Amino acid sequence: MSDHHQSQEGHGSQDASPGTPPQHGGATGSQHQQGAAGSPAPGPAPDDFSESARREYWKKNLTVIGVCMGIWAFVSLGLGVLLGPTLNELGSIGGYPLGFFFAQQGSIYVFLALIFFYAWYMNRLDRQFGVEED
Amino acid sequence: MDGQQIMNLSVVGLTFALYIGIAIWARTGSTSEFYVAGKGVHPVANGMATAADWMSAASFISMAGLIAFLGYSGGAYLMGWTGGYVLMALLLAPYLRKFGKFTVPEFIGDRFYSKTARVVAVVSLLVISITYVIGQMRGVGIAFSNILEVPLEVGLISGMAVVFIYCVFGGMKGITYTQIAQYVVMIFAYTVPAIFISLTITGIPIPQFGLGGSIDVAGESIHLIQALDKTLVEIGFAPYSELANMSMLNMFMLTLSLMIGTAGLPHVIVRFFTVPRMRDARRSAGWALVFIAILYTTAPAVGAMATWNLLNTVIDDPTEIWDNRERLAEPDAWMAYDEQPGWMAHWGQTGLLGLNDHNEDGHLQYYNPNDEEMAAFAEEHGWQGSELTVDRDIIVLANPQIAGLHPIVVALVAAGGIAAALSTAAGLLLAISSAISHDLLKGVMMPRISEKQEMLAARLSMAAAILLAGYLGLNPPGFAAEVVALAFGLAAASLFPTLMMGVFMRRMNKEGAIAGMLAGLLSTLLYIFIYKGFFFFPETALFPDQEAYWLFGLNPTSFGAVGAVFNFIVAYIVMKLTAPPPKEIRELVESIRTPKAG
Repeated sequence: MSDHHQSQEGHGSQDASPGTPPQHGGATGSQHQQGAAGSPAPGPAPDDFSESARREYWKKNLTVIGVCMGIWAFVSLGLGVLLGPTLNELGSIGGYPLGFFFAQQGSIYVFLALIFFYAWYMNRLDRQFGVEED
Repeated sequence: MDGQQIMNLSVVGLTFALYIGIAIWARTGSTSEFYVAGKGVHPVANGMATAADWMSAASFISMAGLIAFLGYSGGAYLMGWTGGYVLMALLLAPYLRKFGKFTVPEFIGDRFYSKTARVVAVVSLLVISITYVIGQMRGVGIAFSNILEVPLEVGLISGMAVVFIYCVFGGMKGITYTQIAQYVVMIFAYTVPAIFISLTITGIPIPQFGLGGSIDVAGESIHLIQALDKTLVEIGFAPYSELANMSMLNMFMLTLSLMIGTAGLPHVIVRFFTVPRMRDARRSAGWALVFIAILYTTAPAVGAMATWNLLNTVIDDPTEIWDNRERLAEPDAWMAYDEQPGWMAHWGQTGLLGLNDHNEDGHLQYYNPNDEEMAAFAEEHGWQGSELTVDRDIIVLANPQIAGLHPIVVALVAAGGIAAALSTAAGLLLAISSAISHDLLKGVMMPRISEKQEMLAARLSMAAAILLAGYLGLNPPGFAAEVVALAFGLAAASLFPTLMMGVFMRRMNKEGAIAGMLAGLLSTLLYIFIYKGFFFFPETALFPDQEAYWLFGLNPTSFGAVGAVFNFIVAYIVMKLTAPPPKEIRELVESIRTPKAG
């Protein structure tokens, strides 16, 4: 993936529209943290899904994938495995020791939420950029 | 033939009739229908079919027992086998659906503009899928011989015949709609006994809450998990809720390997080729996980509750032994042989439960002989070894009888186990036959054959694959259990990274992809063979398969994630040293990244 970022930034500097990459990355991140519901990203019309819009769309996709994968790994490998014994000491939820809960129940529910969130987010992004299927 | 057996056979017979009826309704005419059900499957329906496709005989019959045996670290299987769907939904399914062809090797061949890459992918796919099929055939055998008490051969052959009808004539379309029916049978058969066992033990009908619930023992209320912890410790096992039985490193790597391996299994990925649009693929992965999670969140409850039932049966009053191991020294702390419940006697006959009064005191002592302290305690009191052996499959199979449920539920569990095995077998058989007819024959060896000829080839290779699977089911290779680890390892190390780089790295070229796949494949094979024997001949193993000899203490079954990292690194280095892919390939990558537009 890293080479892709390089090529993006390389092109980005020639393009005026999306602004400089670091600023833009920050904007996307904060937008996401607010639940990604506000700020309607002005997607261009489908017939001019230009090079810059394409990059913008992909960059947003990569950002949301990154956030989701971070949560995915933190909950399962983090809370369910690495921190599990510590969490077990800390307390319990619904009669389950906390670490045990994440290893045998909680992670699965978070996985479900992540997949449906991603589907919702991307289907919305498709519409904003006018690239949704008929 | 007693009443129970008549009931069993009629329920299983009814489900078989249903599957055949669906097969007749869903006959196929075109290669598109045969390989990907005409790409017209509703995302929820596809989710349900994916769940049946994915949940194998092992998930249905063995997983709860495996978790019961492993306790906390059994979570590696739960998280690994569900977490893979996040990878699939975010990183693969939508893009491969947009690509819009028929098979996984086809994507690899086209994206990396190389027949060699396609053939390497076919080889991985065949090793993974054939390995897996063997396990399903064993599952059909267990369901028939242990529950239905029908000879293994009869059971296997009738199972194969049903699969033959709906796979050969129905292709993916027939498989999809039978899988939906099989999911319903399977989930019903799994959850009904689980609800009853949860009600009996904790008074809570939802097993997921029941596992956190309380039980009343000796007039006091205590959490089920705590009661398990306290009891298991006194007989020399690790506490149920604490990370034991596996090192943290191995639990971490096993979870990760199973996640990546799940996302790289071709017979599951191809299910997302059957939905109409990219957005359906995204949503459908979520539905698949909903249907899978119903079983996977129930399984730990079933495992823990069945374990409690078992302990409660063999130990007269578990509360008496808490913090008081000495009580175990008295024979009457244990179940008397002549007082064993009916289900124990029944499963004792099948060999899944082994009872043996080694010290001939008329009572059954059950403990962990591998625990030094416990072994010393046993020796001191003249025990001659643990007198109960428990096969992990028993946990699910005996559940309805332990809970004293109606005979029809026992019959349903048999039908559910068979449905789980057949639905997964069908998905695998389709992956195998389409790799042969579409990738090897049409794609590489005889590109000029017509659609009609390709259909014929697909049906013939399906028939051949079924015969092969049946043969392997009747004559299972001794290493069947070992190779399942190999299947996940290879899927993780060879297919997943290559597919992911195909979507996310425009610059990835054929040289990098092929080198990466081979590096992942060979490193994983090598690490497994070193400890398990080359081609699984145990005498050729270089080191004993024990933690002290594993590299960094890493279990060979947890190696897939490391193989995947090798794949990424080698692919990246080779890519940097070789020419970039042609322009049209970069355009292909752009086009699969967005739903519409070029």
